[in-house]
Amino acid sequence: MDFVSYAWVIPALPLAAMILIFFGTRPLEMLARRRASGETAGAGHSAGHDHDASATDAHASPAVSAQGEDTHGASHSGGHSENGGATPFWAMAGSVIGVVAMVLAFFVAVGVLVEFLTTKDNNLIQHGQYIFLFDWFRFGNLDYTIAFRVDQLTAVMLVVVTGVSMLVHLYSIGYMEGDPGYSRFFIELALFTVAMLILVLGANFLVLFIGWELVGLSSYLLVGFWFDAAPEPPGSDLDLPYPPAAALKAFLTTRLGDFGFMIGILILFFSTGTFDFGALNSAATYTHVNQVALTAAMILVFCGAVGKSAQFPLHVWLPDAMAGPTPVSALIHAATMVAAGVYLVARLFPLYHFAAGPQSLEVVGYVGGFTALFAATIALVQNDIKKVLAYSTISQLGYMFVGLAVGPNNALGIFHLFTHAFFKALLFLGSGAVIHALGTQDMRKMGGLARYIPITAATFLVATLSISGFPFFAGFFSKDPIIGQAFDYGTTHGGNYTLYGLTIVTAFLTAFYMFRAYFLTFGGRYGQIAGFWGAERAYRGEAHPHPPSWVMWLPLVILAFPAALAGYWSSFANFLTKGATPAVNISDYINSAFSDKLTLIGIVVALAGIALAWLMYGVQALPAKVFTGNPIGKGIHALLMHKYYMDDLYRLIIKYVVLGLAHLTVLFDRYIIDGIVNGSGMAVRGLGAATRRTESGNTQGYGAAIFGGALIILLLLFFAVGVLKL
Amino acid sequence: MLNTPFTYMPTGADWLRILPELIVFGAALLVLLADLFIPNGRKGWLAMVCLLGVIAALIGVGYLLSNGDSQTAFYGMISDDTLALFSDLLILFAVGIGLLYSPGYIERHAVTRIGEYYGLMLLAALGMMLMASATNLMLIFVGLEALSLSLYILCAIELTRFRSQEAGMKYFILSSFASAILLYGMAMLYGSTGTTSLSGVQAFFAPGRHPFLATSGYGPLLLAAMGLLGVGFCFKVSAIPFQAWTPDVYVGAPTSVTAFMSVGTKVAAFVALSRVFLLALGAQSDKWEPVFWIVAILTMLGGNLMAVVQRDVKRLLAYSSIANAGYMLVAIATNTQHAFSGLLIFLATYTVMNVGAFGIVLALERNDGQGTTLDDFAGLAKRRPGVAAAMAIILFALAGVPPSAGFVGKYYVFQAAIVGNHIDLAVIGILTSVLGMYYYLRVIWAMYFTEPRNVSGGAGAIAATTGMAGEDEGEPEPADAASGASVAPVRAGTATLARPVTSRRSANSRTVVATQAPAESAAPPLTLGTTVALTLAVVLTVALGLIPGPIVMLAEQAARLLGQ
Repeated sequence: MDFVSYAWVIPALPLAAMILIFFGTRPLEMLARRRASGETAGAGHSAGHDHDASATDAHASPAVSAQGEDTHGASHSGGHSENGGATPFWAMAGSVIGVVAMVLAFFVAVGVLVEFLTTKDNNLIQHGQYIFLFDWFRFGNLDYTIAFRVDQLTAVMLVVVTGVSMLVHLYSIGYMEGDPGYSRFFIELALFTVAMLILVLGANFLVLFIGWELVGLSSYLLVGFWFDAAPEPPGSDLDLPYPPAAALKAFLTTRLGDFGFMIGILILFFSTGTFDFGALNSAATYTHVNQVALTAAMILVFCGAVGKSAQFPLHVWLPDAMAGPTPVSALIHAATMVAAGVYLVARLFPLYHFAAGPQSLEVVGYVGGFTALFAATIALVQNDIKKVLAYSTISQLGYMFVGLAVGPNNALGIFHLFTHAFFKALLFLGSGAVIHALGTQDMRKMGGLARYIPITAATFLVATLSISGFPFFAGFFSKDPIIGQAFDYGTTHGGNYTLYGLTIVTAFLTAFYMFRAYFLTFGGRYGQIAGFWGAERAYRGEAHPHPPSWVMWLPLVILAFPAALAGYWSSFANFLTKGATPAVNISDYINSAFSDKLTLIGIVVALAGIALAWLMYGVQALPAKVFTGNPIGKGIHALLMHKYYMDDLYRLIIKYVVLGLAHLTVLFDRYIIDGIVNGSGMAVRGLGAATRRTESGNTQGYGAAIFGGALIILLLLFFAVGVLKL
Repeated sequence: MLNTPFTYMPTGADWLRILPELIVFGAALLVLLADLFIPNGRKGWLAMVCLLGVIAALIGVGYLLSNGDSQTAFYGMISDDTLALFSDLLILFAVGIGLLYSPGYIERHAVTRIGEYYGLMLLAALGMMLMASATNLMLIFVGLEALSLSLYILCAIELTRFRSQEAGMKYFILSSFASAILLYGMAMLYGSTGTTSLSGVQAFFAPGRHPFLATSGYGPLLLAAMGLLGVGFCFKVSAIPFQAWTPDVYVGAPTSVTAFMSVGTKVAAFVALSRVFLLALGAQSDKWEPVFWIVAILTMLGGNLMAVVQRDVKRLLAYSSIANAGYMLVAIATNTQHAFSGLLIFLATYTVMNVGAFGIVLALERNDGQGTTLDDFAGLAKRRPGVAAAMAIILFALAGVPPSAGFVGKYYVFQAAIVGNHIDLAVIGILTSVLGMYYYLRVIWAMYFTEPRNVSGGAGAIAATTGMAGEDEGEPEPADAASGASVAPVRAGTATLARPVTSRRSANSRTVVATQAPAESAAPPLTLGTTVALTLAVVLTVALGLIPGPIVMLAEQAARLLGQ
């Protein structure tokens, strides 16, 4: 079957679901809630309130209860009493529509990928296929087209986006149960998915930018989903972000990068006259462009990626984006928002690699490498399970950029994006299950949970092994080639092994902090199997953990398979580069895995990280005090706890520099600009009043004016041509 | 050739090429006839007949667009090229919207000759279509007279409203004057070239046709012809310095007529102007371009400057139509195929926005023709959120805020000007657009960010503003009132509240006063037709901004005429 031609169905399905929920079930749901509230008005929070709902999240619980008592009081519990469940029937129907749409979209996406894998059509392999073309408008030689195209890179992204989104949709049915904004959540989730699909399907900058901004918008909506949440309860030191503020932060920080992105696009457009990726990436176009301008443009475009993919120094929004519901975090971190930046660089890879000066990719590589290490060090000391995962995402995204910078093609970076999507989604959904079970995200109040929620623990362990680069798990196959290639890159670049150093150290730290999180949550001292499995004695919290429902553990189990096995797609690089011989192919890599010293070093580093974590947190043979007991260690610990004071630095900059400038500008505006404006305004009004006098209302006067005007024009004509000389 | 007896036998194809015009003409006759049989009180059916005629004509245009042969008909008199069909489309849209507004307006105002009203609307549209499709100077003039004569009567059709009478009379006198000048110019062009056919004129100036004339110059006759033609057209498109009639006539005429004529006349006149100057006199462009250059600058500056001080929104829109004529003249002065398609796009977007803007004015106007000042718009968003939102969208579009139709129009015209080496015009156009922002957005500010003032204009205000003489109200100075030619009969039911002291802090107390205004002076709710028309205008304003592709394509196809 010709799946590629039907690829337009993929974004159309979630879009249809969104519209259907918005106009179909949401009004009915609101009606149902109102009717119910009319019947049970004044009932307030009652026994009908499901236990699940009150224990959703550290945020969710205050949010839900605050709403339950203040704003939606009667309606919330009323929904329970009437429908016998936490969520009204119509809201549930809406979420089912969302899941069904995503399942269908996923199958089409898989079909598209399979078709690309099996096709013999050389044209399709080389150029992909347009699935939608609409001449938006055209004027002169400027052409603005809305075009969607599928090629290998897009096909991979389609599977990742729809796959993760499908599981997140399913998972959310359980996770969001009882939330007053249930339908709204699914509408925004669908919007998020559509936006990302538009982004990866876009065949030119115009469409990509629309998707890019839509992603920004929907992430704003979803991060701030609990916009009426109560502030963090006193006594907590988790530094939980306030959802509306976090949403704003995410939006504004990425906007900072978008500024450069837009300028970059414009430079590219003005120097080539086209937005189309195919044209931009072809040598015929870019060889005519000034290389300095091109290099600057590519670095500016990368600024956009820095913002969206949360690279240093614009990474600050991502940890705060944890304020959104956990399924959203999974979606943002695994498949959508942050993948956009990596995708962008990969999409323009020929421009970066062949056209622009080497500086552009160097910038990409060093920003990525530095961010990888930087974020990994912060992740070492976090107590909030979601924060650990957030910083690990930033760190892994850094790997992807290093992969793009050092690789001979974009396969290394994208392959890591591909495997990372699965294990990171799994990690987040797993952490969501933990939070759902306990009502807290503080790892100090966990421990030994594998005893209570074994499925979650087992799948989480798979993902942890994968991200740590443990041999034969997916992360190993995608991460180690990047490290190896970074070494080769150092060899060919005059022995500058900085990137290799950054990545290998990060690999050690990754293994350490991920296992630290695992031991603190699921295993730990007094645990079974030397701390690798849980036990009741190891549990440090008070709340009684309860296992997730099937809609929540099923996605975990499904995700565990690609999280472990995605690395065995051995011809990925071949596939992505359309058969051009890549220098690093995963199949070769597996063959030489243990004959190569570099790989052995990688494995040893990962195992060392795991071992250290085990010593410190698994059996607690090596207490953390060993490191933090001395003043230097204490200082470093404080530095890391405060995330290198980056947030405080930005706060100071905003407070004194930005706002100071703003005050200056206000003065300038008030006294100088306003003076000019008011002056000219007065002048204009005076002129207007003067010209108004010509409108006397006197018909004879008007007639005379016409005659006079005609005379003037005739004289003008005659003088202009010099006819009077005749 | 002049000595041989003239014979020409029209063929069936000739008739087919004027299909839309025929349909409109037939519908006009049908209306006049049906008027005899439809009793008073049921005259609304006439509007229905007219609308059906317009829709049929639109279908005719669609048919010709897909199946037409772009040929001239009737011995080169008229053409069904894409340019003609494009203008037909705009004119029919404008008259259709005007007709949708009409029943509601007629019901509330002193229009007694309803059959004639509808018939003349269609005949005016017919004149515009003929003028835009004409490929012969004679037919251009016939079309012009057909539309002008119809409009004189339509302006004056409210027999008991003084301003309507005055508008009709004023328009008649001044427009006749301009028509005479135009006709004089045509005569001189005929004298210079020996033909009234536009293609004949074009051929006359073809290189190598008259080598002697080309070297020695064509003499004062041709220059006078161009000058007089230019003046005549400039009057019709209300370019400065021939704009004086525009505000008085637009304000005085029934609003449904204003909505239609303010855009229909512009479309017809600009297309005819382009055919004469850009096409027929294209070879002489070095002579007429500077004239239009000056007129364009004057019109942009003057139109916007005068609009700034207006406080009556209906009058403001009249000045804004002058300012917009200036932007369109930029395209004429640029004189490239690119600019011409820009002009057509601008005309299309302007048509859509302007009929909507006047529709809002019509919706808010009270029975005595008052109620359209900025004060009346104050706080409109709270009283009538739907109308206010529609007005806001249209005003944003008129101001040229993307992504709206207005932005698209301006973008194309200014872009063409820059490409066509007229950066000067583009800069002045953009700067004066900033002025436009001021007065358009001020209405939005009044609607959304101010408290309602007294909704009634009050007798005092009326007395100050009745004289047609320069009553750009706002400062009701006694001197102005005294200089007014006459005083309108103050209607008995009109509130006679004194104008409150203008201070925003006392707004709350004023709303109390406002509620005491007599109910009959308040604007009535929208009729179905008005609602449909407004919705159409707003939707198209947004749609043309979001998806300009189709209209741009059509305009470029129409503009290809210049390339031939």
